[in-house]
Amino acid sequence: MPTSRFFEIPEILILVASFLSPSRQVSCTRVCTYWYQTLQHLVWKEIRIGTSYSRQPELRDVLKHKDHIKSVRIFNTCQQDTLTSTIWETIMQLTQLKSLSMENLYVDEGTIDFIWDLCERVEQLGLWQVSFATLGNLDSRKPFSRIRHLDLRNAKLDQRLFSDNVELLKRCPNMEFLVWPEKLRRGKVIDGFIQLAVDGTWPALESVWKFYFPISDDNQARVLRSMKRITGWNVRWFGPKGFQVLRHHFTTLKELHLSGCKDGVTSEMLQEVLSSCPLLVTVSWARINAVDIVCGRPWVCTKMEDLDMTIVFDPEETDRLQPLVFEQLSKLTALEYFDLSGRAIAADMDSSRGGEDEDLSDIGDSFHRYAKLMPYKRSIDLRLEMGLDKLATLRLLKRLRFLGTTQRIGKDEVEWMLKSWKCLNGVRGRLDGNQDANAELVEMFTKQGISCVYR
Amino acid sequence: MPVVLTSSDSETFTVDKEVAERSILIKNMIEDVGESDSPIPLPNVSSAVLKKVIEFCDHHRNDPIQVQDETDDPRKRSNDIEEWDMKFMQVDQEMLFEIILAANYLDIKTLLDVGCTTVANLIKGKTPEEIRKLFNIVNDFTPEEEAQIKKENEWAEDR
Repeated sequence: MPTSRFFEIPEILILVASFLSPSRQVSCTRVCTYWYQTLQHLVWKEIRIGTSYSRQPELRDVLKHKDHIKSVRIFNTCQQDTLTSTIWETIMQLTQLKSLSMENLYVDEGTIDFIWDLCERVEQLGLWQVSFATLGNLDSRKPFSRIRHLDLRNAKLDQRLFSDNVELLKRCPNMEFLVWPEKLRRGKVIDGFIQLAVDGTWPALESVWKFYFPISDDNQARVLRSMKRITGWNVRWFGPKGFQVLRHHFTTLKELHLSGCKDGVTSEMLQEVLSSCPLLVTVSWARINAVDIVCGRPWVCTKMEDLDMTIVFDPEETDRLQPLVFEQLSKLTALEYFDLSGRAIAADMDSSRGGEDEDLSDIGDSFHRYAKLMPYKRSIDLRLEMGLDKLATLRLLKRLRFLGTTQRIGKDEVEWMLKSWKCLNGVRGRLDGNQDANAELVEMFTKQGISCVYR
Repeated sequence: MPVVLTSSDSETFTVDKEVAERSILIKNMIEDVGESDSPIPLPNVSSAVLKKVIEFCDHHRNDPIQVQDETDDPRKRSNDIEEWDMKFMQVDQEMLFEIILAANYLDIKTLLDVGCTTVANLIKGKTPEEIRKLFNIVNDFTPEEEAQIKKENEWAEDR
């Protein structure tokens, strides 16, 4: 029977299951003993423990599968309520643990030692909204030399101990990726970080994400210069000196997010990036002028998967430039997410929001309000007669957003999109200014199972 | 220079070198042996299957060679198959399995992925009993074991 021979090769069964979602992998473990034995490690690769999960593994089952568990997420919604030491003792027995993330946790005297012990073992550490009542014996500990990836997303460390953020950073000499979206603006902490970077504390550091501190162009250039290799950069403050250093890393740069910068970034810079960085996978930038795209060198970023930028046209030149811009865009054959909404411009215009909006639908909304005031900021016109058909090469496109832009998309365009972009699963933005016409077009998308939101 | 391949049932196939070299196994064999006119025997692949495999390699002859699992990014693990590949995989279950086994033996990563995605898509949305029925698998759990495994993994169901 070919069936049995086929599934008898464990590698093949595992490969098949790797294309399934975790819940479907669970169904597979229930098929027969052999499938259970072969696939159980996929189910147990990552576990979640905490007070807020309704479903979580029994601790005795965790121990049973301890050799499979590579990643643990601990979640606790009641900040003052600490997890029992039984849970920590169980986690301590996971010898294969590589990644640990803790969310909404209150760390006190009783747990701090467990956490530092685990820090000595894991490669990835995430502290999200974790409060420390004490840092225990951090001072006398040896460096956490295994940690490569440190994520302090929304870490709300005690105000009093805030500077100890850097204390923790200091103890991760092999850190490669840092995510650090701390919003508090304490000069001392920033200075401390800059000095440590310049002193070569993290020789392997190559990617810094969500660095939201205000930092001068000079200081940013110093940090960038201290890095031997740069693959990712995501900041809220930027300038020409920083860009000058980044230029030396164009061959390695994969991720660049500068859309949150209010100034210091220019359209010319983005054109230079797109035409110089062959490995770019994701870029988010406020805006680029169509004329810069057309006059600049050809783009080389053919690996781009996620692109977020507003393309701004001078009304006099719109018709002439559109086809040329489409021509450049058609080279991005790996593109999956394309956002033309211009969230940065919108956020910039509406600074009363505090500029911290992650909810893009809101920004689309505020863009609508301001679009009237800034009629010259017209984005690309997604119509076939303007050259949309050039984008048939974007065969992997999954999501297209153009919130806040003025579009006159017709039935022909929608039909064309459905035919050309087989992977498309979401469209965000008003397709046509006319309510009825828009509704009809939305219907065309939703009929094909493609979600379409336009408010 | 063309390469001659011989299937398990002694049928010979003459294919372009670049098509044959989509298979890492064959590529390595050619490198080891050097330029030679003698046919390459593939005792594990029947002519019917080899014909399909060659059709696939010929269609994808100009694709970039996939590097061995360079990323574990779940976003890359999409179940999207190109239209041509999907049509190519519209064969009976036995043939589908034979193609995957051949892809595994010949070391053709893209074909292996497309084949396994196709099988995964068959499994999608099915209960364990339906999966057993689909692939003719015998349930060898005792009722106690079955209940225990269900309970043990229950937490992972809504992930």
